[in-house]
Amino acid sequence: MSADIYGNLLTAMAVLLLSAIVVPFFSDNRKLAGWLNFALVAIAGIILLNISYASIFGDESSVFDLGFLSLTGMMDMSNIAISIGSFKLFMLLDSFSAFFIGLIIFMAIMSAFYSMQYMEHYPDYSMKPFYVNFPLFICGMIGLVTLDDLSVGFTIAWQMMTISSYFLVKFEFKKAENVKSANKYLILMELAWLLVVVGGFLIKGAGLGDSVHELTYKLGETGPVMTYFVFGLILLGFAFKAAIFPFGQMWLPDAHSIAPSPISALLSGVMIKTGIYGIIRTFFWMVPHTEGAHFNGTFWGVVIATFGVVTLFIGTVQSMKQSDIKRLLAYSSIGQIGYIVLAVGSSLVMFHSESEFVKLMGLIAIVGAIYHVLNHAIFKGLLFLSAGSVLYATGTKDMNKLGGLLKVMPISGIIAGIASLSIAGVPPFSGFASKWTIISTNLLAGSEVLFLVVFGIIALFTSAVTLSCYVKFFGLTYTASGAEWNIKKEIKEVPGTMIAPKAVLTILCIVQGLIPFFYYTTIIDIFSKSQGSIFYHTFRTFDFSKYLDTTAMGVSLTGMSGIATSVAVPVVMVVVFAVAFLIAWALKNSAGSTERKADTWLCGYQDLHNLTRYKESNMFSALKSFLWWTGGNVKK
Amino acid sequence: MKALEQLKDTLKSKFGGNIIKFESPLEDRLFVDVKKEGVKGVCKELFTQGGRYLVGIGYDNTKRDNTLGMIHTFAFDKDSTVICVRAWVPENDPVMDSITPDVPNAGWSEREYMDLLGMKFTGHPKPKRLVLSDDWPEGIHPLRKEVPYNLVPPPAENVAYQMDECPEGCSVVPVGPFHPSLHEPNHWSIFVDGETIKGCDYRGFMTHRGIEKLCTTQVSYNEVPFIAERICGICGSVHATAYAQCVEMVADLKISRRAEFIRTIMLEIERLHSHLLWLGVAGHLIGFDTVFMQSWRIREDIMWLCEKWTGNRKTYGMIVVGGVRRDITPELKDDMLRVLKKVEEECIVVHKAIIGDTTIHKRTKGVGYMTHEEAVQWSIVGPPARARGVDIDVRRDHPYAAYDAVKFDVPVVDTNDVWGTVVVRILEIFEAIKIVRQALDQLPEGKIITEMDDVIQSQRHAISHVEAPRGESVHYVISGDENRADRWRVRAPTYPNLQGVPTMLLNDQFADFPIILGSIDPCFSCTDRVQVVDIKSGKVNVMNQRDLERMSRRA
Amino acid sequence: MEAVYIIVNLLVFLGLAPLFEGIIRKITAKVQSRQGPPIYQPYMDIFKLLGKTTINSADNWGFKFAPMMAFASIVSVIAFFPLANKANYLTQYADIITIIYLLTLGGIAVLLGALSSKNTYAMIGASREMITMIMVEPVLAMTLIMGAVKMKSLGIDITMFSINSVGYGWSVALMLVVYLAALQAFVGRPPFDISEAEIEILEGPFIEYSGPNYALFKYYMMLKQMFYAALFVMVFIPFLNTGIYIVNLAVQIVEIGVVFGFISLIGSTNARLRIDQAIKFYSVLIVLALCAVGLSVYGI
Repeated sequence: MSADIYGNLLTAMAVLLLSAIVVPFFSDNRKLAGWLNFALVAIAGIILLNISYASIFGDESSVFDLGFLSLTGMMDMSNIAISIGSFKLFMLLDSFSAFFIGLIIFMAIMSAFYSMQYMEHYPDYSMKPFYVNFPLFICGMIGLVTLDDLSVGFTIAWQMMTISSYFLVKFEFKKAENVKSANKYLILMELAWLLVVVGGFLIKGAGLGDSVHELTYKLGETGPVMTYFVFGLILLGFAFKAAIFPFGQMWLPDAHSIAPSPISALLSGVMIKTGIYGIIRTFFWMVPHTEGAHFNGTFWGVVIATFGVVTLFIGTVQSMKQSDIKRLLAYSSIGQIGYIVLAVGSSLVMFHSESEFVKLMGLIAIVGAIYHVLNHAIFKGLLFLSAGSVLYATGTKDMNKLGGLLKVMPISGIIAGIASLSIAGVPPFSGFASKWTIISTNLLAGSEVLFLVVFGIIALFTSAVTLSCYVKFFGLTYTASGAEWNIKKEIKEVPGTMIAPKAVLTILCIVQGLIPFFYYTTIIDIFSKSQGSIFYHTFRTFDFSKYLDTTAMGVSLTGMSGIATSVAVPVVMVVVFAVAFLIAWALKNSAGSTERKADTWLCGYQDLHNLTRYKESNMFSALKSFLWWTGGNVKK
Repeated sequence: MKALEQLKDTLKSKFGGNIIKFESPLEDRLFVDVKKEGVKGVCKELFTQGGRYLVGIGYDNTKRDNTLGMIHTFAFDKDSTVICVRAWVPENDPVMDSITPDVPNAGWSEREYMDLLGMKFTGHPKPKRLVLSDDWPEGIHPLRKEVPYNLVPPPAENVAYQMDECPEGCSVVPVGPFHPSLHEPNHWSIFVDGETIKGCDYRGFMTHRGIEKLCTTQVSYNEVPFIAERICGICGSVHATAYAQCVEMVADLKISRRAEFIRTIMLEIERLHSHLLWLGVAGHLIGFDTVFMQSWRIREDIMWLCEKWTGNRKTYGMIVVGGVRRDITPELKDDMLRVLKKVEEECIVVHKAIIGDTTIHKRTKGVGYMTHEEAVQWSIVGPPARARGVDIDVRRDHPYAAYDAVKFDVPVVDTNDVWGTVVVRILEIFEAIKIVRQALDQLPEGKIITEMDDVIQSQRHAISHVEAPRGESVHYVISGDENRADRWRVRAPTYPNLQGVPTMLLNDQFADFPIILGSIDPCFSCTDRVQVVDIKSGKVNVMNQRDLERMSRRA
Repeated sequence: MEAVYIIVNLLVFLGLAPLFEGIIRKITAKVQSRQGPPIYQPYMDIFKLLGKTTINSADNWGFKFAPMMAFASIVSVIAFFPLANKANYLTQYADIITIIYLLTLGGIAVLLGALSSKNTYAMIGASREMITMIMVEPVLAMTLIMGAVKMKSLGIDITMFSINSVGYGWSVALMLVVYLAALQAFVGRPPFDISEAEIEILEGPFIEYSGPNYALFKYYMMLKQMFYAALFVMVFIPFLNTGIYIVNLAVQIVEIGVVFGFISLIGSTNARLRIDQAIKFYSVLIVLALCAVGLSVYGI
């Protein structure tokens, strides 16, 4: 990577820091502060997106020339580090981190734009802490995916991210339980930090500020037991961050549900993905490959995949039990992280397999994992923004009180519907393509490794549970009935400034679902450009075109002996469905039936009213009690 | 009647001051007249002594002494006795202690007279409207003598009965009046948490039209049996018999033995059809339509038999005061025996099929659970009671008609659930067949109707109860002038059983609601005492089977 | 030319689904000693409903959209289906995961309609329908996955015809039993017609539907049950494959008819279970199906 890229990166981070200092002074003028915050985030964002684009697509000529504004001077390009005296803060910006940078900053821009209007409904709270911490939070996350050590740089970035997000989570500090949840969040994140840092120091001869590359080398000389400890502790630390069961349940639902919605969108959409980033970096990059190194890829793969499958099942089932929209989304984040972790773990297992077929599946699986990271960031961010819109318009996020919003908030309703379909994995929306990748690789590899097929089946089963969560979310919030009796104020569609970012994300949900092949090739590109990973060479040398076909922008995997093994062509599905829908429409109108309105019929004595409607707490009760052992139904 | 004497002594010693007098017109009937202050104590004592609450009878006595009367009746099944506690309150201050806190089943009886007579019962746990419709104006009490039988008050809008409060976190599922599991109109508010029932409220009497008022103002003793029969479409003869027996008691009329035997045969054949009908309905209620269709097919032979005997498939018009209307000819006897044989064979098959069917077991066992103690407390009657180990059967305990001459078993099980009810009712089919065979065998010669010569004295009280297929029907008659009763009270078996249903429903699944309610074989029209007459068009259009099939296909 | 097979698929399914429904009604009637409606009654039902007034009690677009969505989803599935052992032009563009998700889409449409209609009974029905979907979908998935594991492929035709190439085994036999046990739940027949349960929740999700909307839902249900019967024939009865398309088609239609006979016999000789009981039953099925998949991984 060229010096310009690192320079621009530092410039963008500086802009964010500047925003944290300047904007709070204007916080009394809420409108101005909102725009200012957005503008500065957007400026940083443009620079970062440019870096991201350049790194992912290898088009270094397109990097902006910021001239003197580029902080190239701070970089010691021979070591790729920031030199502070003799001390070096190592950085690493390859395609893989560029992907995360792009994701983080894109969601940050959306969130900042959305916040401008959204934060208006907190008239009782000063905006100062928000505008201090929002850019810091972004900056911390960007730092985390670019700083390349497990001690000093890691600590700086982690703490910046954690502490600023702590204040953002605690935004509504006048509610005692919010403060309690935020404190819990802070403590657990510090514990996670400690685990990772201690893990790093257990490496034989690890020093302060060693780059990951050096650590990898030293790891090769660490004893077997210690190696297990190192990986175990780091995995545990990132497991806390990524909200893997049972660690995620300790903080995520509380923290994500109380934070302001645009912050929740960032927390669930991107922050927990930094945990995934950490896990992938640790288990695919920080792997000693010298003779006599003690790294058992299959073992760790099984561990991670097991964590993943348990997380996705438990998290999703717990999500199904929630009445609070944001808690439902938060638990569902745990479930979706489970899919990603499963894909990461099973990819590790598959990659260490002997069979060529399974190895290929391993490559596809990690592509699926990253694809799902992207998709989940988009649709979960969108869902949290949708939940924010509901909260903004009605003042509640309790599904027992909501219902029938589709009529008063049609645009938000349709957007929430598309987001729900996406996360539920319904073709042709984005969740389908990535979940399809994860599940199909597991199933196919399962023909040789039994437990993978079981994991795949659980994942498939769970996607039906996910569906139930979102049928409930959409059904009981936007259709059905209830808001007309429980919401005292007049419900209106949210303003355009709140709809705009949601609309952008909605379009992405559809695009990401319709053309999976583009994302496949991009992600494969990312891996084949990011040096140092265990499958760097495989990705570079592997001829994907032999096995990965594109038909109408869809993906089809072709097996080793030339049999078509698996295909996902959303465009074809859309066309077929559209034709079928036309048939249905024609059939419906074939006899010229007329329409008349009537009241809801409830056997003739009582009308539909607030008591006779079927509330959220009643939905799926039999299944909830059948799955009581998964817990997670604790209501405050 | 030693036990009765003992009871008298106890009451005398405990409530001596409040008891006005004892009266025993028949050896198994005891009327205790008490002051209104003593009602609560006496009733509590009788209930704790093992008396089973039958019904409360309120009546307007203002013409005679400006009072309103209230009679609480208790059955002592072991002693074959019925005790009636009579009390009166002044018309201008019609307040009496409620016995409902001690005798829960009296709840509806007392509420009924709050509505119909304007009485007040202090300490009633739920003094809400029961019988009168939502828009019936306050202050008009239809059973008062001064209110004309055909009074139609103007309808009102926006008046609704306030259903009970739904527990926190529950939703209300409104069931009825038009709902497939309810074959007659009434309304339930089921409070569900998820699908688990956490409580309910009942609003019935939607078709109450006042048969009692009609029959005490417009018709004479001899016409009532035909109206009584129309109280219920299933167990009409039961009501007619119970009424006729009451009138025979107040008239001191002894009917012929042959008539008693024919009444027995009629009642048992009615029981056969009713049990088969219920079995079918129960099958339908748990989604097992094959049971429904098959048991109704078996029932069809009985319907045919009845048509041959009485001219009608249902509502036979057989029972009159003083006897029965149609005799049993030898040819009919042969038909009966043949049909019984066929029905018995087919019922054995059905019985085996049901006992062996796992899905029926799953849907009925442990469903509608109510303990023996609760069943006694709520004075549940009939098969639901016998399914909960309550060994009562009016036919055996208080023999009437010719039941003293036949031998039969009373099946009692103690599963305390719907399954027990199913078993009891199936076994009773075989017992009913047994009884009819014995009765046909022993059928004595004689006339079938006994004429009544004397005028019936006014103000005589009689209570009679008959074991209907679904429980015990109680009729109470106070004789009056002008050749008609001054007060006639009908209590169908559903009346007490329905009050126990909320207990059975508690903590069961909503999906079980139909079968739990169905298990008591609710007959809302009996309870409401109504009759539906289509008067829109006078035209009678007879359709044959082919017409009906054609209609259902090309609608 | 392969596009012709898509048309044939649609014609066969759209044309025969009501007939098979009629067969079910007729057989049920015979079991119940009834005459029963004529075998063409379901066609008449659909025609009649199409011309009736639509009663709209929900007043939102979800309510109107849902029936068409349900119908379209099942028609899409059928378009991909390799009827008569013949993969058509579209088959290559989808795999079994797509099929499963498309079938789920139909379920979602029913739920959307139910929830949009606001009716309490519809909501109870929706709740039950969703539970049923969650619990029986894995059985369907695993039936197909078993083939996938054997063939190392998720292709629709390859998976469905796996028995042709690898033959019967204990795993297939076990899966066959599980599929048959789940079949009543797939098609919503007793003892698993829980989500419609006419007697308690009055056809549940469809309570507010009438006219053409209801016609579409009814047609959807018929097509769905025919699809599940055809899938059974396709996966588990591969023996009569002659290689001649027309013969295959005829044979399979007869076989589907036999499966329908089975459905109606089971349906008319069982009481409806409760949802809590059904869940337990389904979970046993899931475990058994998992075993079958496990066995098939080891080639048993």
